[in-house]
Amino acid sequence: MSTNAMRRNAALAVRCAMREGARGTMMTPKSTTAPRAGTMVNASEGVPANVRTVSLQAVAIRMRSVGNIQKITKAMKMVAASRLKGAQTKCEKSRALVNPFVRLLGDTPGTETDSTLVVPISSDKGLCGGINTAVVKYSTVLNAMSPGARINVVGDKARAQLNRLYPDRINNVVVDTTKQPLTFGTASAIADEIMAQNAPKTQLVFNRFASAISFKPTVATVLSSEELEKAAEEGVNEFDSYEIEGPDRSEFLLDLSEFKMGALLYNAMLENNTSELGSRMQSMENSSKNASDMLQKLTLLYNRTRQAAITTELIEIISGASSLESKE
Amino acid sequence: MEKFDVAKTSPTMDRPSTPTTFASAPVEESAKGTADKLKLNFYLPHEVAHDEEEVDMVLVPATTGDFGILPGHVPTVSQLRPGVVSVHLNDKDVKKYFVSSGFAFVHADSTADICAIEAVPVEQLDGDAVRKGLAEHQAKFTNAKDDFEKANAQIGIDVCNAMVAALDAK
Amino acid sequence: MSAAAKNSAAYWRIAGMSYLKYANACGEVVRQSLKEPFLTQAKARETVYYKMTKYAEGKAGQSVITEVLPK
Repeated sequence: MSTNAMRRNAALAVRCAMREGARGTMMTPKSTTAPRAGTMVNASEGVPANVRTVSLQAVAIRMRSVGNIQKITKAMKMVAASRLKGAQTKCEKSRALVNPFVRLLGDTPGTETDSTLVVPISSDKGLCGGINTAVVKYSTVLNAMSPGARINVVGDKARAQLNRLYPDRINNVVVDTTKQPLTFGTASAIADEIMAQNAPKTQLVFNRFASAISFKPTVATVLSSEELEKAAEEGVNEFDSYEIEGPDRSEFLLDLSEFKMGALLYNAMLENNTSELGSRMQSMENSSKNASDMLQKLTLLYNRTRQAAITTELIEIISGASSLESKE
Repeated sequence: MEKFDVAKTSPTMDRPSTPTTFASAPVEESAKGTADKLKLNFYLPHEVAHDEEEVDMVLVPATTGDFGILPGHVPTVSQLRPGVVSVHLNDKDVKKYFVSSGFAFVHADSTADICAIEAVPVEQLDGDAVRKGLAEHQAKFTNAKDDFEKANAQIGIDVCNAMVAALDAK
Repeated sequence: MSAAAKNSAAYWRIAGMSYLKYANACGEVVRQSLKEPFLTQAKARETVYYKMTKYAEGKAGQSVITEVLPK
């Protein structure tokens, strides 16, 4: 089964499973009609208590579908786990390049500027837990903090949410960044697009990969070269205490801010990608655990139903036989 | 970040981290160079060539001219042109890298940061490929239709010339 | 365009390139001049792929796919 088909099946099945779990009813995944006559568990649904129990076949169908869900989510977890190792190595290697720039130019999210460009970085595909919602939440806070904020979205999941919340503040949307392995070239091209919007302050919002189970929302700030000059004059960073061997100060700061944006964006996209894989691994693990729990409960139900049916038949036979005997 | 606490939409949101949370503190004792050794950080986007390694001296090709970084060098920021960075680990070992361009920072505590997009040991350059590339870029320069193509071709010529010089100087 | 960019003397900036474009172009020239097996290893770093959509007042504009695949 292709990954996308697996994904669709899993999404549909997981959502049905979650609904089922909450209500405790015995609906099959495909039927969306009212509960069958004869639900066992929730008598509060308004169904009389003395009607027939659910049929054996219905339970068997449910068991098969839950078993499929378990297989799909397990497979997705394996895929994510296998990709995670490579992604983690690449991500950790990219962290080093950010440090010299942060050290030289500082990282000042609190700088007062006229407008801010918020760049939330999210994944394109779903079923990866709560990381994208976390990024959108922090982006909305940053938006509220700076009234003239514009948004440049990376990743489809954030776009869907932000399009609903702030449709008129979005400048650009960049997707499909992970279709091919991410390179510094791609990050540079996207960084160029971001710099072309000439924002005094740009803030990247992403999830940093702290460990396979922990993803920290992070905000990285890049100031434009004019802001950097102001910051250097005010002593916020120590740029002016350095000798310059290169082009003159303004141009140098411009080159530095562009390179810093490229390095930060490359690192941010890799961190978010790795977080996505780790989060997907986690949530698929939870799904398959839930599915196996559900399967256990269903197996018990199946056996009870089977035994009840046998007992009912026996009772009928015996009562029929005893009524014949008593007649004689 | 105090504004963040005011603006946040739900009381359970923590403050986000920033890159400074994770960057190694610049004045960590272990990160400082000593009086006679330089601490070198040499970073590429896809690789870490040297991380806090103690070296004697580094020669860098700045756009304004080559200079050598010794322990105790005055704090400097420089933009690099395509050329050779020589890392003198000790009296005997010298590693030469050809860098495509980038930056070099020298800090007051005898640490140096070199950042580049590509840095390859000079031995990995192929002389024939370099000369062929030089000829191609020179042809592109003469046939260039606009400033952008001219600039691209000029970049190719400059880098290839630098690589030829690096290979010849070995 | 910022004031610094206008006063720049670098030929590549006058031609409209940003520093990142310039540095990546230099990097590409270096990558193409490597010996085997480093050349094939470096090919992985040549790919550029993303799709960008400009938005105006909440409406999506044209999508532009930027693609550079290694030869």
